Amino acid sequence: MFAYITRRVLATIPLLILALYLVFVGVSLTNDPRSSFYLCLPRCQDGFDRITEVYDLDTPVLIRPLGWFTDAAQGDLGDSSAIGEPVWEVLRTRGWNTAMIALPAFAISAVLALGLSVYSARRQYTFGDYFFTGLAFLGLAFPSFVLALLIQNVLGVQLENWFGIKPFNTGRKSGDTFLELLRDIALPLLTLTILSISADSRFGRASMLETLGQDYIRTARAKGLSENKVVWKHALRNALIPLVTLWALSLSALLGGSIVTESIFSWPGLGPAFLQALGDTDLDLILGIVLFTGVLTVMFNLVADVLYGVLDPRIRLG
Amino acid sequence: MAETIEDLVSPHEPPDRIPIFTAGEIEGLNTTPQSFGHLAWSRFRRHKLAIIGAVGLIFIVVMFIIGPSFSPYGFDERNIADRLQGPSFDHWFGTDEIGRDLFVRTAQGGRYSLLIGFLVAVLATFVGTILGAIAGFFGGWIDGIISQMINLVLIVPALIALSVFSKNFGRDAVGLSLVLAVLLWTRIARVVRGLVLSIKEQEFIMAARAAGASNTRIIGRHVLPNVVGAVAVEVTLLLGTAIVLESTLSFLGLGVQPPNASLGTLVADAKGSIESDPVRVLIPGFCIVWIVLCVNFLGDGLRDALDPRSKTERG
Amino acid sequence: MTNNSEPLISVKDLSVAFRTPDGLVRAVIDATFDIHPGEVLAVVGESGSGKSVTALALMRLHPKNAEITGSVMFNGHDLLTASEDEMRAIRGRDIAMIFQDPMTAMNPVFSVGSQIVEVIRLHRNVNKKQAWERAVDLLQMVGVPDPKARASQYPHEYSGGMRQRAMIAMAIANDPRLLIADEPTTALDVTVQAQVMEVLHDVQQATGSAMMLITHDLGVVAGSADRVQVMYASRVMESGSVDEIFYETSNPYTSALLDSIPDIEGSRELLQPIPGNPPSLLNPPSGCAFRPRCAHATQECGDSVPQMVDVSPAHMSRCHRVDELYRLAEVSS
Repeated sequence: MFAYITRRVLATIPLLILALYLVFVGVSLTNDPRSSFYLCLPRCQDGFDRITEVYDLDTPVLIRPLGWFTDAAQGDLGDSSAIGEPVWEVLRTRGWNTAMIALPAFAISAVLALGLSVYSARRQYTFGDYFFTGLAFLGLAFPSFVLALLIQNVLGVQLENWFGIKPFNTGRKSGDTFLELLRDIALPLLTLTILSISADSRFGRASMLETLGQDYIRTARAKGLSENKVVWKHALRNALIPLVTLWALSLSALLGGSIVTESIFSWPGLGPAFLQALGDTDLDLILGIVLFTGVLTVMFNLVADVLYGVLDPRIRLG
Repeated sequence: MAETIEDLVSPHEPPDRIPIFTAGEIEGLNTTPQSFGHLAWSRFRRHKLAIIGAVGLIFIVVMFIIGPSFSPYGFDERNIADRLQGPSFDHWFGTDEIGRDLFVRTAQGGRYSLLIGFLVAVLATFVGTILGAIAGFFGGWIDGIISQMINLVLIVPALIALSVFSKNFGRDAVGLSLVLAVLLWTRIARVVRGLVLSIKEQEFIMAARAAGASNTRIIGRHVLPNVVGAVAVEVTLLLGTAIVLESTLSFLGLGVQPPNASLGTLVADAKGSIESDPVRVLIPGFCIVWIVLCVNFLGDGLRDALDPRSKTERG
Repeated sequence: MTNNSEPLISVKDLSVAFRTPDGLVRAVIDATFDIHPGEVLAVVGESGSGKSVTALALMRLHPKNAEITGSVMFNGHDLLTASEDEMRAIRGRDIAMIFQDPMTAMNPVFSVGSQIVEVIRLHRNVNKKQAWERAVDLLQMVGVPDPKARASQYPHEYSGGMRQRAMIAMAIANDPRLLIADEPTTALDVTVQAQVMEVLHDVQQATGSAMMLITHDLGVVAGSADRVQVMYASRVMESGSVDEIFYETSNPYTSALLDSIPDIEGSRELLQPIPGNPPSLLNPPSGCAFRPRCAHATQECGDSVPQMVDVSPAHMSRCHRVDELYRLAEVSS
């Protein structure tokens, strides 16, 4: 197992490096930090030279990334020009804020989606099944920003208009006490959770249905097992196997989805930081975030693979 | 089923397996033999949701195309005097802050979004199917390279990668479509590769080889026709995904740029006045939801119709 | 071994129909039969004749869209009207089933031993250790080599024949009074089929349980059964003792079935398949279902469905022309 993990990690490192390289070159090719300086030359030659030095602009584009890589390998991710802090700092503080929303969203949606899937699969064709399936369809069709705006407007703003009270903050981080945080994250959390549940439950229901149609379920019933035991012991174990891989994807999608949600709710997470970095072409921060999310994605996939092997004895890794 | 997480781009939903016995299927008998296409069409027709989806999609596409001809206003025509009005008889969806008619703009934006969506779907399907089939069929180092390409694209969360590249390369429709297609071909490639791998093992392929068929012939005449069904389903899902991604990028300011408009940019424009005029946000947002819902229904219907092993839902 | 004691299970006019989008499919029509304690009843027929559906109906394991009428008397109760709790007590304990494909019939994520232990502990009050020991004993009884180690293994680590043996072990774990074996050897290699049938036979003899053996293989029937029931297109066509069915055949379908068996040692050179195809269960032909393919069919055969007629005390046949075709033959031979 350990050998497997090592092998997988070693296999993905080159890909990550390649991805970062492509990002670097791609951004550099289309952005010139000195663009505003050309007009004022030769007056602002000093500033021009300084920028050239800081950004290593004399080196050819294709070779420039090496500098970043050597620094990064030693743990130096540079400074963020957009935010004015070391990239590590940004990743740490903003990353923590994002985790505050993404992790609970994942946990809640995973559990709820599982329950819904089991319910839907067992009560196929009932009103309940159609209702939840319909909701899932709807949830899947909503782009994250539309849902976020809807929730923010209806629950955040209109409730206040109608009732005069403000049960939720519109997402902006206002304080650090637990209750305040709860109030702040409620709406963005709700948005992300709804999006996740929609995707998970569709898949989970299908997986559960397929599992329930298998022969060994009939055997379990033939042995005299109660329906609950059949579902929760025999069926679930098998239905979970593909679900686990879905969860890894979900987590990584949550990271991406938080870009939109966090911006709309003004939540100071990685999302707005990323957008700011893009807007100001803050290469160091861009690369830092890409690296961070890339590593996380690889980790999630790895965990899913390992779990897959644990759950399914036919696939034992080694 | 996937061997590792890497085999999944987005989860490929297992077909709904419902324990109904239709007469033909218990006994393997049919009253009259029907061709596969005929069977598929009749199953599709029975699938109410799919029909709704098809009708809904056609409706909104038609609205986008001929709608503006019913309105006297042009796309970029500004009547500053009439700015920031809500819906009225004159301006069905109201006007924006520089007086442009929102109905016409929504239709225009919708057309643009659909255009990009279709472009992406076509590109991604084309590339994905071919690469996936090659990878699955030939295996070996070709499969290795293609699989690694897929892994590369997927190593970073989709929106993050898209954001970077669309900001820099996706300023126009073609560029944006290319960027989106480069991300989205991977899903179809995975599906096709998996399918081809399993088809390859089946006996009719061996039979064809024994009869002396060349590789090209085998791919063209035996493998691809079996893949068409799954690909058709994936294309619809791809269309939905592409539209959602494009509108998200445009909303963030990273996709479609002025003077062009897409449904995403329209939502962004309307965001500022959401408290006073929430309808203005809802309309383009609702259009997106409508399109994606219809496309998903269609995809579901196609999946049921074309997968002979899955059983249709009753009613 | 037939006996005149009280039947263990008594099925009367059992009919199973499925509501489908295409119409009503009548999978079993008016099946009536008894099984006595210790007796082996073979149910024979082609795919689609209704054999498996009958078995599933006995245990109430059918899909939800089935409509069942008739009665199944077991132990003084009608199983068709019993509550789900009552049925659950019976399944795996009084009546046990062995399914056709052992690869898919066992849960791939649990070890073989634990699946046997499960059925033991479900119906008996024993602790895990005792149940595990019994499971190992059962595996030994059915001939699985090295049962102690094998019990901890998973189904995919067994060969096809061994898997089916394990299924048999699982079925007899609680000494059921009735074993239902649904085509137990169909999914196995030919070389393994005989071995598994032997295990099944030995086990049935050793435990003294009755068995309902469903198969489409007449060769298997000859070696193992006491009584035989031949089904075609949802109905029982003929039922009687093994000797009566094989040597005093009284039904054109049974006859044709016997004739179609390839005979290596015999003098025939050509195979004699039954011409035509089995009928659609949605739109069965009028009258006798076998009429379109029957060499002896007359006009009358298409008018009405024949009833079961006694050929001798325990031997019945469903045919309009039993008297003409078979009794005459008996008299003259």
